[in-house]
Amino acid sequence: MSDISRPTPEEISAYLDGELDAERRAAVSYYLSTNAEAAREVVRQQALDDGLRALGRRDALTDIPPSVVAALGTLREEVPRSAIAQKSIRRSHFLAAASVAAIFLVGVFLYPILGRDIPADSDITADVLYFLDLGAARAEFGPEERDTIARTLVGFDAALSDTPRLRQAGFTLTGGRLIAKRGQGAILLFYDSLDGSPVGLLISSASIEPAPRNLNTVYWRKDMLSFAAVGRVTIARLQTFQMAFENN
Amino acid sequence: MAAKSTYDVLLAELPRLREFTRFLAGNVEAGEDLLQDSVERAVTSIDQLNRSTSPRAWLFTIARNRYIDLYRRKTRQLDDVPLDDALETGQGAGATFQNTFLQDLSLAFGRIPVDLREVAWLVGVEGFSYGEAAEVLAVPVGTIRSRMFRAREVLRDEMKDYWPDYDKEDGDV
Repeated sequence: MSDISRPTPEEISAYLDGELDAERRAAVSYYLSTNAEAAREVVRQQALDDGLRALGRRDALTDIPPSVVAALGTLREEVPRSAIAQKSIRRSHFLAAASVAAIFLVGVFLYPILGRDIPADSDITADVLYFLDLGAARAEFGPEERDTIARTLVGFDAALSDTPRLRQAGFTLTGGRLIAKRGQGAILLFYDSLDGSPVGLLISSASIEPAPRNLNTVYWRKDMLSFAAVGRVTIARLQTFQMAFENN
Repeated sequence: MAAKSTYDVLLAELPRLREFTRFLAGNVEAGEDLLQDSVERAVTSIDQLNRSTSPRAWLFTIARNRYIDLYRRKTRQLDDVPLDDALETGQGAGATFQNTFLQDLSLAFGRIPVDLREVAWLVGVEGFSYGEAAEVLAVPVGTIRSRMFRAREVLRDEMKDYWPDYDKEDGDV
C-alpha cells in the first residue's frame, strides 16, 4: 500500500473509536499491520482507553436511588416491555437446555417458511444492550451450564465450546440466556471484559443483516451461524473479541 | 420486536447518566442531586423528545444543561472545579483503585483541559458516537473528532512514564 494512504494521528484516533468509514478503516488496519511502531502506539492508546473505562465503572442499575427511578416512573404507563425481559429468570440446567433446544428445533422447522430477513440488526443491538444493562438479572444459565447446552443443540455445539483465547483476551463468560425471534432460536452469551464492561454475544441460526454503521456491534458468520458481539465498548475492543472467538 | 417504551429506554440509561452527573458535578453527593434534578426535568420535558433524537443524547444534554444552570454559573470558569473533586468523580462511589496505573491515569485525566475531558468522558467512557457527543455538547462532529484526538495525545504524554520506549515523535504515527 502506498504512503499516500498513511493515516494521520487523528484518523487513528477515530479508528479506535470506530468512526472511520469501511474504506479508511481497512486502510488503517493495513497500515497498522505493516508498521510496528504505529501498532505499538495503538496498543498504548487502547491501554489508556481501557483504563478510562475502568475509571468510569458503573454501579448496578439496582443501585440507582429509588427516588430517581420513581421520578421516571410517571412515564411507565407507556407500552411496557415484555414481562419475560423484566424479571430475573433462573432455571435448572435441564430446563434451560430443554427450552433452548425446543425453540431451536421449532426454528429449524419454521426457518424455510419465515424466510431469512430476521432478526433485524437494530433490534438485535437494542435487545442485547437491554439485557447487558440488567446486571445480575441478565443470565438465565451460568457458565457451568454451557457444556450441557452445547451437547443439546446440534449446530451450536462448536460455537458454544470453551474459548480459552477469549479468556486470554480478557473476556470471561458469566452466563447466558435464550432469545426467540419469531420462532428462531438464538443464544445470548454474556462476557465481562477486564474493565468490567459486559459484552453480549448473540449466536443465531438466522441471518443477521449488519447495520451499515452500528458502533455497538460487530457481525460475522461462520458454519451457518450468525454472530453479533454487542457492548458499550469501543469497536476495536469488539473486533478483538471477534478475533479471539474466531481463532479459538 | 415490540418497541421499547420511553420509560425502558431512559431507565436503561440511568447508570451511565449517573456516572456523567458525578463527573460533571465533581463529587458523588452533588452528582446524585444533579441526577435527580435531570431526571425530573427530563420527565417534565418528555414531549420535546422526538423520534429523530437519540434518547440517550437527549437525556445527557438535559443533564449537562442542568449542570450549567445549577453549578457552573457559580464559578467563573469550569476549570475552577477542584481537581481533587474531579478525580473523585472519576473513581465513582466507593471504588478503590487496584493499581497505580489507574491512579495515575485518574490524576492525568483530571489535568487535561475540560473541553477535552468532556469529550473523552462521553466517547471514551460512555461509548458515545461522535455524533451523539456532538449533540450533547452542541458542537460539530469534527470538533469532537479533533478534541478526542487531542485528549488522547495529552493523556498519552502525561502517562509516558509507563512506556519507557515511548517517544513523542514515534507516537505521532
